[in-house]
Amino acid sequence: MRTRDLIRKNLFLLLVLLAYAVLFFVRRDLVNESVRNSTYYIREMVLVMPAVFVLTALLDLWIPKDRILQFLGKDAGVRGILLSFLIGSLSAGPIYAAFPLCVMLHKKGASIRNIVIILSSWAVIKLPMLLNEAKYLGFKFMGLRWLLTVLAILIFSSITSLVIRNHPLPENGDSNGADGLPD
Amino acid sequence: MISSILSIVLAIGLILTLLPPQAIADFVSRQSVWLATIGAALLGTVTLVPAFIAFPITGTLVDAGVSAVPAVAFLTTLTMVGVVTLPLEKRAFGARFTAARNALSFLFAILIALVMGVLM
Repeated sequence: MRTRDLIRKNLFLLLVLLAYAVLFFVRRDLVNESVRNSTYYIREMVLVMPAVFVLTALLDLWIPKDRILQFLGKDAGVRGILLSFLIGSLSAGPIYAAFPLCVMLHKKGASIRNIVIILSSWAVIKLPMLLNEAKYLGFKFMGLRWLLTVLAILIFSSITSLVIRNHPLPENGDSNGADGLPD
Repeated sequence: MISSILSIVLAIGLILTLLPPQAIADFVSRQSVWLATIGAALLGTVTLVPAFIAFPITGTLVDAGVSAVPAVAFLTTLTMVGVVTLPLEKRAFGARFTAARNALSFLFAILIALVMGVLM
């Protein structure tokens, strides 16, 4: 029973490792290349994740629940939306780094809409990324895509909030998703 | 959490090897705009290429005269929708939230691309 649980919990990792194992026998050169490609992300993970965990823990400790409810809650209005875009845009790192932070914020009262805004802008709207985009694709392209993306996030964050309305997120935000976080 | 992220990172390396960004770009540039847009959006969904690689590649595509529409679809799903991070997102926020956010991001990525095509 316990091994079965263990397998089920790590199914994705096992599948990935299996793919590597198969590739090892068929095309060993591709394994080397894949590991090389992964190195960039492993570095990113090692650099960013500890900072995000510490930041999440500190914010959790320092900012009282009613404050988060007031600034990011359902009734925070335009100010909450702007603040969410700001948090997402100023962040660093891959989108999965945003998961523990957003789970914590939601537990302390941040609305679904604002969580979606933070997650989505975390992925798409970054100043260094925008500069890079302007460099390769032109200022007009970058500006237009930025504007449309912000509009899209505004619209679909509201839709997500409606879809979720009567279905609260998992209570424990999953202990795994927030691993390493003090409660 | 660490095992999930490790599997994500290893999966990304594998996907980048089996579906190299340059090959994706070559493929997309040979299709009709509609097919290319849907295909580019799907490819952007399964891959997670760092932006500093994605922008120059998209730049060469657009410079080569390929419509901006597939390029925009690719760039947007690339960053906003992630198949490899789905299990992790689902565990943190539940299946309903994850499905809604990713499906809507995908739809809006195509919408953004179409509007860009009209405006550029």
